[in-house]
Amino acid sequence: MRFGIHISLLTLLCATSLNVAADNAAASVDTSAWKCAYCEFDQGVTATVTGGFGVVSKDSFKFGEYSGLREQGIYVIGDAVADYRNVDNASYWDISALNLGLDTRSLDMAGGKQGLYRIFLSYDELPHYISDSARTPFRGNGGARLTLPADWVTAGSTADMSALNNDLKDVDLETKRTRLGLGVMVAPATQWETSLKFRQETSEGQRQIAGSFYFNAAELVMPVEYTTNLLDAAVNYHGKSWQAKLAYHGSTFNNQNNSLIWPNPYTPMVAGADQGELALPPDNQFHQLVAALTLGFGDSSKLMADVAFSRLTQDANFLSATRNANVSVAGLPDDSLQGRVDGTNANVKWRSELSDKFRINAAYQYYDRDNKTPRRSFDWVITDVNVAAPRTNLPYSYRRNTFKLNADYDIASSLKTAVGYDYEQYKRTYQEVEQSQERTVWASLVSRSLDNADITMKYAHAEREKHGYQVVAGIDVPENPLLRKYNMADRDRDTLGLRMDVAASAQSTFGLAVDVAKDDYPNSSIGLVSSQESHLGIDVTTQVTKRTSTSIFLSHENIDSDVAGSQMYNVADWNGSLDDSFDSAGIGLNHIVMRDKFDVGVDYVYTTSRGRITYAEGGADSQLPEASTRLNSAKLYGNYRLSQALVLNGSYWYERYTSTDWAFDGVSESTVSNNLGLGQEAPSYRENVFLLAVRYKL
Amino acid sequence: MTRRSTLCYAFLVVGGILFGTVAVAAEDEVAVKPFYTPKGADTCLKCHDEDSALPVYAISKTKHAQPADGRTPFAGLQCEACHGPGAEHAVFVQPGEKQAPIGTFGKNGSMTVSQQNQVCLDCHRGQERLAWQSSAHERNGVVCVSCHQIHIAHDPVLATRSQPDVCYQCHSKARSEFLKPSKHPVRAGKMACGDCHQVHGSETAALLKQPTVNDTCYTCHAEKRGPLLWEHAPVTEDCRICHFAHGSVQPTLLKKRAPVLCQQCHSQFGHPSIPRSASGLPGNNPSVFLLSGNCTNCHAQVHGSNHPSGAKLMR
Repeated sequence: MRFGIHISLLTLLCATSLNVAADNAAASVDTSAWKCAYCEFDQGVTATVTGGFGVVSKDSFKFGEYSGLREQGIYVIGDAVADYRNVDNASYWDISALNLGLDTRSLDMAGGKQGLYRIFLSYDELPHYISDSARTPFRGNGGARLTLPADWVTAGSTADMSALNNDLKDVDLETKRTRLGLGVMVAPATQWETSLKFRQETSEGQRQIAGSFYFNAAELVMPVEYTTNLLDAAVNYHGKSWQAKLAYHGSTFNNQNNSLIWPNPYTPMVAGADQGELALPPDNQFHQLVAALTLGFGDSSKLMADVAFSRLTQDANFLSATRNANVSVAGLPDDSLQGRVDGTNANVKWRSELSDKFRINAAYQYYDRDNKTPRRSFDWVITDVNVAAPRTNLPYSYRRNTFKLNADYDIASSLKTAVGYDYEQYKRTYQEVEQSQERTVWASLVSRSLDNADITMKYAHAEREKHGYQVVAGIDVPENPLLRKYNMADRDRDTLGLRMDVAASAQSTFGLAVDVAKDDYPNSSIGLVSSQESHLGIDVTTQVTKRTSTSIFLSHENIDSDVAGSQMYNVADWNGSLDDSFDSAGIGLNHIVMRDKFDVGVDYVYTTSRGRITYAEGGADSQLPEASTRLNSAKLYGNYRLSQALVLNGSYWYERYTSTDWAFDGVSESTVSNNLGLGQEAPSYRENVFLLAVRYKL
Repeated sequence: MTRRSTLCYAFLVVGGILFGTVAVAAEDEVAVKPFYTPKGADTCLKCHDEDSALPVYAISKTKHAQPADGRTPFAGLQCEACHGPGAEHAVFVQPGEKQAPIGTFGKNGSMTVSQQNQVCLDCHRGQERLAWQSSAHERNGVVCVSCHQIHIAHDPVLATRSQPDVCYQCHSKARSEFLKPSKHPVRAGKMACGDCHQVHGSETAALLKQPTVNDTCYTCHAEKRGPLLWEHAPVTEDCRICHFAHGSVQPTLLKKRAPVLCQQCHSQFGHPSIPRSASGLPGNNPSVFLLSGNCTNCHAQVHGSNHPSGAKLMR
């Protein structure tokens, strides 16, 4: 018996170190009788094809925002998954083609010889349907030059644009990303791996932008024709005591359109101010080299370090300062920006296990964004109307140093604690605060004292201090000197997290998560003064019967913040309180009617959001209408196996979405006298979707 | 050869022999295991079939079960490569008797967290797992099988569509965020957590894949990368100053509703920060500063401008 116990304990201990000695063990253990006769290895080709159709009841961009189901009508359902395995020589290939009948179709192909090489090819489409309620009098939408109809009559305000109503036309705001990837991974030796990956991503479509002549604005449609190429190459070594990686990441961005030109729909304020030109994102390049190393010192200590050097450049030709030939402005100091940003990122981390119960971790992180773009003075024109005082560009740089020291101590196997201290320092150029630092202390406790419950708590307190705060020289007109930009201002932050996971029984689990974060900006009289975020989440899963399972989640989130402002360029004379909340709930139910034959289920999700803004000014409160959304989504589904190879899938999906938004509700193209809008509406829809498909296993 | 160098060589030779002997002896000690099962996986599968409480048949359809790949468990000690020698465990017991233990994984596994993870790391220690040690997940007691399912043909955490549900088991707040009106397309199954996060360890905030937050965002939003002639300072530093990463109740993943979002940082002479209350709504005095795009109706280039006359982000 005693011998048996020893053997058992030894068995457990061996399990942890077995892989280390696996080769030796495998070589010495007599495995001649290990035939794996019961192993059901896949050999040859296996494939599953799904085909069918779906019916969508109504047009809605919001419903089809990312799913592609944006139009009323019939959609083809088409999925195909095929695999090939050869157990004798470890060669394989996998093909997965999904959503073939939708705008979200994707294709993934990979193959090779396991342990030696892998080749892959991927294709993916991702639409983003933004708005189907926009209207505009401009023509040429989606191109780089907009025009107005021949009968257009300019006016000083939108209400007086007499041809507006006749000239309005629908315009959809949408983009589509198409991603093509290919690559190869080769493992020339057991501990070496090299990879080369290429990805080309194109984004095409049209989005909203705006252009103005002083305070006369117009919402416009800008073209999106972007191509991004990404190349990643890496060499990895993973030995027993040390691992290393050397990698290159390169990315080029190309925009087919360097500007958007639009005619001024208003009566020009000055002669010649009859068209404007907006710069669109210029071509750029990014190159980065990364090296990483992990060193083990025995079983108890580890050193991890990595460094990355990057260079970002942009040198597209400048547009002219104005399209108004009547404005006389000095020439540009150069033809292009010659923009260049060098980045350096370095991390060093040390972990040491001083005993079975006590571990310390120390880390240093360094990041430097060194903007080497030359500074030059530009004579510029305010919205093609008049020449402004020269401005010199401010190539922002910043440097961040972070130190972290923390310790884990296991009071008992079921009670673990950790404490830590973090120090973070920022140094910025051309900004209000040249240097700031934040100190954080935190502690956490993990308890598994109860057999069926895990409790985790973490509390952190942070204080951020800035060194001085001065209005940035060179920005005309200056900001209120009492303003404190919240990403640099003094701040006290307290965060608390609590998580509890209870296995109420072998069939039921219960999870509770609470997160609270409270920020105070004690020295900010104008700007963000305070904010608080809180979240409560509950999860329950239950195996009701052997055939019925359910999962339920509930979540509540609140974000409150207070902002102070000054309309007299003096001390604060108003306060704004923002109260955003979001609630969600869901239930999933699955029931196996006949094992391996027939199962049914339902997934229901409910969400609601509310955003409230209240202003306090001169002792009186004023509140904007509540901005809200509500979603009810229910899916019923069933799968019925007609034969060993054939499964019938059917589902019905009902979704109802309503929203109110004071920024759009009742706002037509001409509601605002000095903003020629797109007249978009807050989206609402009620959709019924039926899907029927068969899945056939070849 | 001097006496000193002779002694040194002797020391090295004797030391080498001793070390080698000890090492070989140690290896032999580990290698000679009398308690492996007689038939390997066949022994295990006899009980752990599809009707058992712990079915493992499907492991033969996974990459771990590839005998022709010498790195995999099934090219060697099969199930016992990870679970340890199982002869004792495989001994038939009478009803009511307790089965001898074997190395098991999971929250209630017989091995400790570090022991479990070490079994996996012995083979999977390179690449993205370089920073696993002392990463947030490692320090919080996450074991590999907390997320990965080893014994089924298709591990859900490796597929874009099903991965988020695995992460939501602990990160329930993220599930709530991806249900918000403005969000990245995770619920639609077109993005997974692993597209941005390096869950096996990273020195970047929130375990991001790239060295900085912005570098991570730029992998899909390269048009925001610049550098531009007239930069908007917070854009160059951290996208999260204005945006939530997962989802928001405000449009375009913004943290707050404009114009208040902008008024947190801008209150200029001649263009002061005015409370844009209900008086600016339709029916009153509709305001360009409040409705539609409000601030961006004029300052449309909030991510910066490369136009020579774009100093105010209006061109």
